[in-house]
Amino acid sequence: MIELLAPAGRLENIKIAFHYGADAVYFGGQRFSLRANAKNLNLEEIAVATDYAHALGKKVYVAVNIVFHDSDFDGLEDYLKSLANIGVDAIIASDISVVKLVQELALPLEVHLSTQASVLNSGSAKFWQKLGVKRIVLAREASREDIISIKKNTGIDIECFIHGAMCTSFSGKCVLSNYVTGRDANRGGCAQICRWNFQVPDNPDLLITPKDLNMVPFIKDMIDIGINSFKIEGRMRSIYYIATVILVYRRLIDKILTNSLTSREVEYYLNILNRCANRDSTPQFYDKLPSVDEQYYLGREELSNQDFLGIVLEYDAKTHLAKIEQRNYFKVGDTVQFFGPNHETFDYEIKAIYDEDLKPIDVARHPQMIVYLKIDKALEKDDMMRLKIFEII
Amino acid sequence: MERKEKLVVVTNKEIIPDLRDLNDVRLVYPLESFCIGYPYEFSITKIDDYALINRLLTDQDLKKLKKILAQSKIKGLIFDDLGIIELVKDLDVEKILLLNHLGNNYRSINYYLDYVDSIITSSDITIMELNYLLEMSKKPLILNTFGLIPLMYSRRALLTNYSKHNNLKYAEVLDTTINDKEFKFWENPYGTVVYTQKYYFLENYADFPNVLAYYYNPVFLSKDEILNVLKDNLDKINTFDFLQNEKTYFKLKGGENND
Repeated sequence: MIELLAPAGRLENIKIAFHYGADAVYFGGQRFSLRANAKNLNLEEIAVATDYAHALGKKVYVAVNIVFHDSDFDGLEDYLKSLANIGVDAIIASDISVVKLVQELALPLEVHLSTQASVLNSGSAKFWQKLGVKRIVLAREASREDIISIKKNTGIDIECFIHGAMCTSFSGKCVLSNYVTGRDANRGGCAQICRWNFQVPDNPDLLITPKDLNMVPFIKDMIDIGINSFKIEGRMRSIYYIATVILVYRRLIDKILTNSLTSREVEYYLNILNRCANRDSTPQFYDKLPSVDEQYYLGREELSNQDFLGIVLEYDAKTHLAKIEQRNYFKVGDTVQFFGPNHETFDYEIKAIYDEDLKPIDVARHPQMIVYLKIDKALEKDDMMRLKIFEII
Repeated sequence: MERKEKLVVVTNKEIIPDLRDLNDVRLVYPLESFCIGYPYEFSITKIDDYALINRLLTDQDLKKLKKILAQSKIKGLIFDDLGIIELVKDLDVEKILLLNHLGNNYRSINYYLDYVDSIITSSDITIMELNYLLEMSKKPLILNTFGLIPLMYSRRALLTNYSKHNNLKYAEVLDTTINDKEFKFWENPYGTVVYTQKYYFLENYADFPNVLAYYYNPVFLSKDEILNVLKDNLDKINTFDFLQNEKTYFKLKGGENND
């Protein structure tokens, strides 16, 4: 089975990720994770997430992937035992001491090796495999040939990133943040210095930010060469981002597996993904070494959009009224789109908006205000409403 | 006190005869096609002491390396990529891990020491952390003593891309700054390293316990400067302590760690 693995920083995102087609999610707990400043989940929430996932026949992986200093070990043993008791499906680790500790405690926890360990060859993969690691998240720098070779020589489960932000550096091989800000990149405090401008005397600034990763053109090939899990980056991303990206890749994978994907659909999916991320995205190391075209030269001035207009809270099939929580401004006369996992995306022209008392209003202007729209096509809870940017294919 | 050896990366060809004359110095040669961030690399046939491999390797690289090492006369191998461990298992040379940024606690160091003879200590930890790590290490370690810190290692051709995007003449080395922090970018066909411009120097290095040797990475220094550094004369060298006296943090609220 090919796994679509979604990021999540909180319970709401986990539920959205599963709803939109993820087979598994990964997140950090409140300690030991490389997103120290995300909300992350406490043990109680991890238990809820795990039960929720298992009830759907899906999986959860917990990142325990910091590079430990000696002072960081306090509480690790109890934490790992708690994760094992909860029944999470795996932890994602990068530090050999975590891998060994799981073994020494004989915990029923599968260990996946984080991309932080930068595995790029079979020798390194075998090293970790012998230590009991069941899956390796390869370095994002791995090429198609590297992946084929590692898979062939080790047979180990391979997980590859297919979408999202990229580090400029090999993961784990960067302490720019430590140097510039004192924030420890390998313990979850990365200040993303690779997205800053480096000044060069008498010359333009040096910019080293990569475009985001986007593997849409190669998903079929990645399935064919035996990659087991397709990972989306973005534990701190919004539910709109998660829903959009997961749905695109879910449909892409399913259509590839049923041999029904068209080139027009691929083009459409690429448009949707690029718009959603606010940044250009492209394949990076899979088919070539990245060049000048795979970098991003806008510095920190990223474009933002207000495409995400609302989320469906309820739909009444009798009255055809959809209860919607507003996320961005929309008004009567706008043409929008509704998308969700269980129906095709469709256009909708807003002819009337009703407030919570079902009184007509012209504009939904306040974040999280509740409004009603009358929509003939059936919707479901957690379907989303966005600005119409592209024609539906 | 026992006089410990200094492992000095050969970053200046002129200095080789002088280094050979020093009793307490061992030479570390960047191995041709297997390094990043060095002005000179040496073919395996020219290396009669330690060879350095500091880049991450693919299976093709490992295959090539296996052939190269079979004909070598090296005394030791310093490497970063864990894929090399199996390759050199039966080779009768000293094996030293250079865990760039990934060896910051004694537990991990001790696990890795099951596979190698020694490990070069991290420059990412404080003096106090370093002392503790050395005390707890089950084998003597090699103290990262002096040199430019590789702050980042990218597989990307960052300077080629910069010159192309801005229509500038390509240079393999570029000095840059962010506010008061200075960087030196260095590109070769295998990627780009970002070094500090100042030289890390470990204060009171001779006082640390459980040390096998001292590691020097004097990139960009002249012959005379390197010889002065080896005599502990750093008057004309722009040094800094990096994170020796500054604990890094990772929780933003209140700037406090969760430990």
